[in-house]
Amino acid sequence: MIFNSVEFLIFLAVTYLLYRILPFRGQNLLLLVASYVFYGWWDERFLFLIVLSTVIDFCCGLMIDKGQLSRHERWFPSGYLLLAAFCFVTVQWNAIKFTIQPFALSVQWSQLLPTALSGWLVVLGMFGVVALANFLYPRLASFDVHKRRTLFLFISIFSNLGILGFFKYFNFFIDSAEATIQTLGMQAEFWHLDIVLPVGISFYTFQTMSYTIDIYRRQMQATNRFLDFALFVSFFPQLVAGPIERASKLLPCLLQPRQISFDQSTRGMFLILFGFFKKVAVADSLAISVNAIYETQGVVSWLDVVLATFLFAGQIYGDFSGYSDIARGVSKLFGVELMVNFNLPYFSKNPSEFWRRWHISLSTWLRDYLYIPLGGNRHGERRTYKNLMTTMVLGGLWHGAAWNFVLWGFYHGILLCVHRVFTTKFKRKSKVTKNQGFLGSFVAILFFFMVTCYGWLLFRANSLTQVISFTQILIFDFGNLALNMPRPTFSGLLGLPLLMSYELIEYYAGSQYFYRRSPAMMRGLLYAALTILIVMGTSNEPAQFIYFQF
Amino acid sequence: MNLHNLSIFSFKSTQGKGIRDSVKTSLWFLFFLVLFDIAVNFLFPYPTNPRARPGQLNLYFDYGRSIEGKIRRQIGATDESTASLALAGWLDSDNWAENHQDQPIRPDSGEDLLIATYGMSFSNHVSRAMEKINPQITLRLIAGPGAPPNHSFAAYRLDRGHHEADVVILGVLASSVKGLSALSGMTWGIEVPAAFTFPNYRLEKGELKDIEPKIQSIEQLRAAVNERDKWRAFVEQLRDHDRFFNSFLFEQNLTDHSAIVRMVRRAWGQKHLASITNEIHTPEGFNEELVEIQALRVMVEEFAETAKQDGKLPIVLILNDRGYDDHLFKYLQPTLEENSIPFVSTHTIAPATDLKNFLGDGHFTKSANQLIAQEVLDLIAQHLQARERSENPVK
Repeated sequence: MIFNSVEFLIFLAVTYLLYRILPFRGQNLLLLVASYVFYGWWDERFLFLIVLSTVIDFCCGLMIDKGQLSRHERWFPSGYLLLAAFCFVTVQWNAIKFTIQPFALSVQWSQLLPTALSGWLVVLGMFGVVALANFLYPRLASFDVHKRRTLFLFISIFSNLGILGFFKYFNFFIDSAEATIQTLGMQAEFWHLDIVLPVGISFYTFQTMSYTIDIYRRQMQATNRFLDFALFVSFFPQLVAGPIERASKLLPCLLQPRQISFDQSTRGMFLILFGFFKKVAVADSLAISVNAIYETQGVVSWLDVVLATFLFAGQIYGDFSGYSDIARGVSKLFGVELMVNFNLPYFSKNPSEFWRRWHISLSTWLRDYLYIPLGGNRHGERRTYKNLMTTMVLGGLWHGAAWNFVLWGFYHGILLCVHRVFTTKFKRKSKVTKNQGFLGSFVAILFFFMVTCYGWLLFRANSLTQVISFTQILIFDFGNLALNMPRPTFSGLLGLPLLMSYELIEYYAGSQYFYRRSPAMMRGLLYAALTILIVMGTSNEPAQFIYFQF
Repeated sequence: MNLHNLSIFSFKSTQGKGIRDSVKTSLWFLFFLVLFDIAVNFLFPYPTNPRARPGQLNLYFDYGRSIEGKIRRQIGATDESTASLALAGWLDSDNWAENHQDQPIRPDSGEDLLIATYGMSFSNHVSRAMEKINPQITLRLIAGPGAPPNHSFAAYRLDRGHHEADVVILGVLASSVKGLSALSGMTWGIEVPAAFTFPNYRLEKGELKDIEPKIQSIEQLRAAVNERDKWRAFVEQLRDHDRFFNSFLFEQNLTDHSAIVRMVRRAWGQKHLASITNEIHTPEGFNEELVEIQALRVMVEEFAETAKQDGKLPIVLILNDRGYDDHLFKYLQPTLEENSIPFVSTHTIAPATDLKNFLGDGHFTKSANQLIAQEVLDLIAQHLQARERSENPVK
């Protein structure tokens, strides 16, 4: 289910109403079921992966922290996993047909359960795994503390990264290996799998890994409430595209009864409205122009590439930060506060600031769970640069299994290293930090925005060939102002300046809630403008004048 | 019920202030929405004269008017007071010859070739480009606005025996293939509906079966918009046999007066159209399981077979427009090759993936049309020479 759909609005309304009338335990159970429905709407089979991650990390967390599992803590997750394997993988839900017009429900009983053994393999496999785990449990529980903690941390990380690696990167590495061998003049045809990438797998895998790592670091205690932990892994507002929450922050919020203030609800409603505006009115509108250039196989001009890349900067920001805003807004309606994921990133003056403002939940995750464990800046300059590069390249790869994402990560790694070289030298020469002033700040922001945009070219490109050809156009076709790109739709043309103005005021006001200080009339005007632009953005503007010649 | 959670509704002093403030903001919000609605209707009214061209914003804010509302507005008491879009594309079998008096029946004097083209603006543009390249040809152009293949095929059938063309061209536009599931240009051209109707062909036991629309001419439509029962019968037929029909989008009511509701209806219409289009055309190509799509191959076969029987050279012009890559060509290729049907497909001449081949309104550029036209002319020349050689082997 996606946020900008009628289904989601109905789903949210129903979930919210039920939530308000249920007691705390019922609320958590409702949110868990709702989260599974939200995810399963796309493909119920992949819910099994979420449950698998949940069970592994729940048990590993307890084994790292306490070294033992009670009977309930063993049998409940085991049963849950087997039930998930049966319900989400074995049962063929498409045998059940439901229609509203006419209102009818039909079940093809003969097709509900597979007749072939292969259809039962996952359930049987899980029986085997559960039996083995329970058989080995007494032996594993008897390990000395250090060995046990390390082993279960390894199991957690290996399983999570194993699932992520298989579903997201298997074909990428196979293709890359094949291409490398072929460039050496040898024939290579490896085994390819027709793998569907489960939505949000990168997000929930990182989130759940933070849980076991934090327990290992003794930064938090393991929970013994399995269903609450399952909700932490699958909490629907941020399940598919973040923010990647830390267990130490989100889990306590889910374990205790939540108070929802009126103020929190209104802030949540505004975030939802603003998120929809960014996504529907701005990002979706700009996407039409951007795609026309990046998807074309024809010739494009310098102006096409420059404009399409600038617009892509707006598109990806509107799309991603819009999603985060909606996620935060929806969470607020349920009394859960999620972290701010984007903080005016295009007002950054340097790469270091950019990564403190862009996709904050990922950059801080990478800092805390990759960069710092690698040594951070604690082992000399050379090692620091190496760590920065490793972190950024892997961060790039996290975004997608393609070489242009690796290149994008590499590019940002280089920017961070270069910035570090300059700031280190600058600090050595002059110990007093100078304030840049308005003009200096403006130039720095503008310059770094351009630099960021080249990164977006690497990110958006469909292939390395396109990266090369567009870079060549930027250099050798400089000044070619022929424009083939279609203009964005009205909602984008009006929405983009509104978004930029809003963020400029927010930047100078220094608060994301600056709008609340304005009079009711101004807020009413802002909400109305956002609503109208969303309505305008929900439909694209096709080339309809085509028929007017008749 | 958890009363604790409902405590937000109790009016504590700070919360009470917050609620009062929110109510005030909500009222302002509603006020500005209403103000916007009134302002749009006042500043960007749609011209009442069906023949007048609306401004870009006037058109934009009117896209979401109900289809019935737009159609009724297009229809005047006479043809002169009716929008040109509403007059185009009708397949009136009773008055076919009369309605196409302006189209040549045989080559103009001094010219040696009559080409009859059945299609839409795309095929008309290519035909006119052919005429420019070779002024010795005469054109007979039968087209409908964005006409789907069932319209072009029905037009070809109706036109048989009404002309002496040497070459007949059936233009098939990839983006119009979805119209195979429709009965009229109204239901699938949601934003700018074209009133013309056409048969809906289904394949039954390998044979084409058609459902004829209850309204087949502008006169019948003019009568129907003034007669409740006729109109209702037509709407019922659309409901039953037109996959694109949707009551909310089609039927006129008071909400047509609200600019915001019109925008919401437009958004709904886009989604409705996209969901049906996605069933018909997937990223991999056309959905061959749909009976309407299967009917297209049979139409092409019948077109070629009957044209050959009539001693004419049939050509299928496959127009792969933006968003459809070479999918139409791929779908029709087996049929064309198996039956040795001459064809030209634009995917190799002006690929749909190259923006440079298209104008902003979606049509091919002039240069692309010229390239396609040249290809069609070459194909005609090649076939006519081959025919001449077979008829006069001594030469």
